[in-house]
Amino acid sequence: MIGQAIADGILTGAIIALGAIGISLSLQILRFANFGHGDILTLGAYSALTFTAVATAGVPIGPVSFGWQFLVAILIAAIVAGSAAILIDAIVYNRLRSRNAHRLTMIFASFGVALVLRNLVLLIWGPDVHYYSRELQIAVEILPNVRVMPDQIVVLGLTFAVVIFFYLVLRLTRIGMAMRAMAESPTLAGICGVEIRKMIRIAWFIAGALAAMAGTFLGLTVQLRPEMGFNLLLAVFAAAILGGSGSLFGAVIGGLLVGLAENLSVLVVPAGYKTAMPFLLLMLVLYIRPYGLFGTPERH
Amino acid sequence: MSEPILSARDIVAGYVRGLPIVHGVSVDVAPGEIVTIVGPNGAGKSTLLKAIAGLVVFESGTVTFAGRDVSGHPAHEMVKSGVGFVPQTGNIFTNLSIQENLIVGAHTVSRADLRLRLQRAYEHFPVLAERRASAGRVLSGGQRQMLAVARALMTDPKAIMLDEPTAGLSPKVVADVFADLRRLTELNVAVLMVEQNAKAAIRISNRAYVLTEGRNYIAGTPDELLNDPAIAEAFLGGRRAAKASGAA
Ligand SMILES: Nc1ncnc2c1ncn2[C@@H]1O[C@H](COP(=O)(O)OP(=O)(O)OP(=O)(O)O)[C@@H](O)[C@H]1O
Ligand SMILES: [Mg+2]
Repeated sequence: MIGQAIADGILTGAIIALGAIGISLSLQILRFANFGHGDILTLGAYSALTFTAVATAGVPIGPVSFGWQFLVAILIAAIVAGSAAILIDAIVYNRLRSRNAHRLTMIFASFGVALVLRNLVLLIWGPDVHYYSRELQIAVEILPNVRVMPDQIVVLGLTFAVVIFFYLVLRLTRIGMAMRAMAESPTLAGICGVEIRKMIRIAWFIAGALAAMAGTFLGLTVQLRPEMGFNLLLAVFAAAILGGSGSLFGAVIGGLLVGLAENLSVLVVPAGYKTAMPFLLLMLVLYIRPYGLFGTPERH
Repeated sequence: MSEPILSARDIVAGYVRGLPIVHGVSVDVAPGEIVTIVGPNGAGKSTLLKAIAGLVVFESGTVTFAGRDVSGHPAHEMVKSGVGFVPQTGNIFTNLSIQENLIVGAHTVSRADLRLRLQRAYEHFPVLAERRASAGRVLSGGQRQMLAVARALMTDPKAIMLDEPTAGLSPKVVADVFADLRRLTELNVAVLMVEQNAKAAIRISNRAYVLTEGRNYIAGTPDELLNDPAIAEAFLGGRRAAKASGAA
């Protein structure tokens, strides 16, 4: 029982973590809480659906429910969502920034963006539930009494590969260092020759692309619904804040903890309270460490 | 003075459009020259440097650099043009290692040149080489200032602006920083600095400007300024005392 809950928790946690990295990026680089992030995730998931509707999810490779076509679909979803994020910045957030809009204004604008996106998805793909593939999968028993779907294992592997890749980019490449520099001080980064607007576009692309991956993974392991991203958003925020807003490592650990809290809670409280668990955990952590698990106190 | 490489004319700039802090200041620096700006707290010295560097609201005036009009160009373009800047506060990335600070400082430099520039920086500042993997936040005040200067030099600027580079440093380190700046001028770099150690700074300068209330007050050679009792009294000696009484 508990083993199964942990396995499920890690799997949902990984998806939440991918979303939380994007939130963490927008908190650091764009400096506002982006409530439109969940619906970028949805947009990404549905973009992949349009591809698989035409190309199918492919002939299943081994025990998983999809073939290589689905990997292409993920890539397309990442590019579509990343580009959409850049476009939205150009038509909404950039205009607000250039008029020195208050942080709260940006947050409210992101609520607006969220609504527009969600209804766009509804308009294009309709309100029905969708699946990428109707292939049946047989759960495998990885440990005594712990069963997972082959798809879930692939999703977990891909998530960690992406996170490690992104970590290495941030640590080792000049662009990555420039992004971290900008997160600390946009002014000094500008003095060093870093073009702030270019960095902002890169940050949006990465956030959008990671959200799209989270969306396709969620669609693959659960289902696609127009409100899938919005429903996940609060858990994603909880994860980003829990980990300490602004820390990649924190966002990942935060995601896993949120996933585990949701799934383990079912063992002790009625399942209806499941979605409240991340917030209970969040309150507890923030009570002890107001800047999150891996965050550092903000200095002014 | 030879032909200036960096020339600011009648600069009007501030933090909010329509409310300038600097009201028409002009300064010039020629290659190989050290020019120091002094003046009381709040005179607008930092704001002037930030206006030239492209960091504040630029209302009017012209900045020419190497014969090009660069008035109001954003910061990242000023670096590319060849103007380095070490701001008064927040002049290193505390979350990045020393090496990362230098690499980001060389953001506009090609990959091939980056290696050589890093090597050069470490040769010049061995302390930084020893601690290259340490985070900026663990450095002492003097090391921070050193890193900030080393970072600004990564792009091989033809002109460098420094805002109070010796603030909070011990007299020995102050002398080191000034010696470093003198060495830069031997490479024909133009140095424009704002200093609180006014007398010491003016002594190593070719010329100096006194700014008050966002305007040029007086300018001259070190001899002219240091030997003028009224100037020395008002701007070059009394500053610390004024600061202390202001804080009390
Ligand atoms: N970020 C800012 N926003 C608004 N006003 C500012 C800002 N920074 C400085 N000022 C104001 O601009 C004026 C000039 O400040 P500035 O920093 O240029 O003075 P300074 O000559 O460099 O002084 P100091 O010797 O203390 O460094 C001051 O009145 C200050 O209050
Ligand atoms: Mg100043």
